[in-house]
Amino acid sequence: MTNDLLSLDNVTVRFGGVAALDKVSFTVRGGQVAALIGPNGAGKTTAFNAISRLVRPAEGRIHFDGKDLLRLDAAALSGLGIARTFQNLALWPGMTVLENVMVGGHARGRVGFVTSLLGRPARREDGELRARAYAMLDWFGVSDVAHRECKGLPFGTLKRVELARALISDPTLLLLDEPAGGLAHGDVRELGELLLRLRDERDMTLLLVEHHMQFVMGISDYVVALDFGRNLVAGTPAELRDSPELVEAYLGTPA
Amino acid sequence: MARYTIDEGSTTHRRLRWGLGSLAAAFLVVLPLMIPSVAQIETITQIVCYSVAILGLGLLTGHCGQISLGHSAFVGVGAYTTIILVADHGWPYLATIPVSIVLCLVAGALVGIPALRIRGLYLATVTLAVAALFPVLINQFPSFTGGPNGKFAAEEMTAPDWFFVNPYTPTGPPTDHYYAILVVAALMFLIAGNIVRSRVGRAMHAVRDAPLSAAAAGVRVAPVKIFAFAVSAAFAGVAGSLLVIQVPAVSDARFDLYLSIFLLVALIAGGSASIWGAIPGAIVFVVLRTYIADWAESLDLLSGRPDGGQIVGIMSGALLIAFVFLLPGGVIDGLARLRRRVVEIVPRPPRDWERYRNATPSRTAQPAVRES
Repeated sequence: MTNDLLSLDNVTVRFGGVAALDKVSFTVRGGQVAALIGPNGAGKTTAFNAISRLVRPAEGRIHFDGKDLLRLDAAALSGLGIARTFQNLALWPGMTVLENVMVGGHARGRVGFVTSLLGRPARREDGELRARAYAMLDWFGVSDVAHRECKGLPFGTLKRVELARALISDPTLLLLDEPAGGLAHGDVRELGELLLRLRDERDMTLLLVEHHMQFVMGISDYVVALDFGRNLVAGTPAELRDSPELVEAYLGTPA
Repeated sequence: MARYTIDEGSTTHRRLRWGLGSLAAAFLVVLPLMIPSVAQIETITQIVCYSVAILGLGLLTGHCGQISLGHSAFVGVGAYTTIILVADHGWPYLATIPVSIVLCLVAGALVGIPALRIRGLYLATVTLAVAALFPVLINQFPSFTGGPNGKFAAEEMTAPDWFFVNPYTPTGPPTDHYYAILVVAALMFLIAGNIVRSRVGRAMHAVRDAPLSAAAAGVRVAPVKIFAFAVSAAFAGVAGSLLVIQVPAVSDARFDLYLSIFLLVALIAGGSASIWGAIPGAIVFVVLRTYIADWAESLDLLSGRPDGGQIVGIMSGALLIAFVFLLPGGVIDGLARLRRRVVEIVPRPPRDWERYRNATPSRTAQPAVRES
């Protein structure tokens, strides 16, 4: 138990009468790249939404770093060191790319409602955040659009912007919903290298939902497979590669 | 393509901004001294007063994405606060403004609570109820508010003796009022600019564009919305107090639903994305409310009809539709586009950003030091 960073314990989420998650349990250890896989509708994104407090589980418990996440609200997670990206991007179209990234650093900011009325504290605080956000965009190779609004930028660019938005808060746990979705082949490899570097160099723990099987198996330390909202199998990529349950879930039972 | 390009934050840019800013300030100071007519000075003063109300509505609607049809009530709370404290308790005019602010902060926060659950058309309906309720409330407590007879203060606000405007000319007192109102309004614009550019302003923008994403990024959506409502109402309350400083008479009919609708139309016409849209917005507002209304009443077609003034409502509706289709960003956006044809301000990378290059993910040779 010493190194368990995130644990789901019998988590059930119901939408109306349908159980999107049915007593799902798994554990992500600190310093791992973990992946949630499964066919469409298996409950992967619902599990993400339960962790990031966007849906309320009917039963079960979710712990992060010893804290009961279900007692906190979505906005508190960023301050605890959890950041996430979304399958269909969570960005703000009317704000510039740079501002989008800066919103990711919101939880670390100190300027409150009263101090925001004065100019100086905000200017001082934003100076550093703006510079860090720009450096992050530069690193992702998208600083040329830093001052453009997100509206109308290509999907691949926005994916990087969103990753920068998540990373600016310097999270301990990074949740990535289909990070490779919509990326070109070369970009997928580059993304894999980036994620491993985050794990190794920044001591970050990653949990991803991903359909790109080669990508998942290539970078994950631990893989959890879901099917119809239930735990199917879990283990290292090597253990899962030939798992008959997994083959069955994806391809169906042989006739 | 722009004829000139200027780097943002460069010496040229700073000088240009200072120069134009001082020019605008000088213009506003000299303005009443150049016009000999009391009526015109009062029109300009009204524009300044209403620009503060529109500015406040812009913080809420333009910057935080919450609609309010209840702002007439907040302007009314500010106006009645000032007139009651001045007429019945002998307060100096300017000293009543903080009281208006506090009352409207509370009232705004309360009205903002429904916004935590509902938005769009439903929020408009709830806030509309506030606007409808206010004149009724005023008439319920005639001993405080004067009820349907209105309320007046015996003495106008007077400038201190050292002030340079001669109070014994016809334009003296309105000019004094103009200056007092202008200073307060300038302060309000400064505060609005500070809010919008701060971390809180960014949170408001994020709540406006995608509230769920904002929450997932660590923005506490509920307090941000309540703050936007409260501050917005406070701005409207200050506008109400300023209106009383200009003319120390208040009646319930001035703070009806029409005022709310006109404020919203003015906001959209002026442009809600920038705080400066409140100025063209206020010009549109006052022109609609005074000149067009007077003109409509003078029309033979409508003369003798008690609802002759309704034509202003029809015209503002048409104006709204025209703006939404032709210039959705409002006058201020149109001006910005014109400006960009002449001079392009090129944004620069933030100062010292290269210092943080090594703090980005994979350029770190060793695990990064956590800064928190």
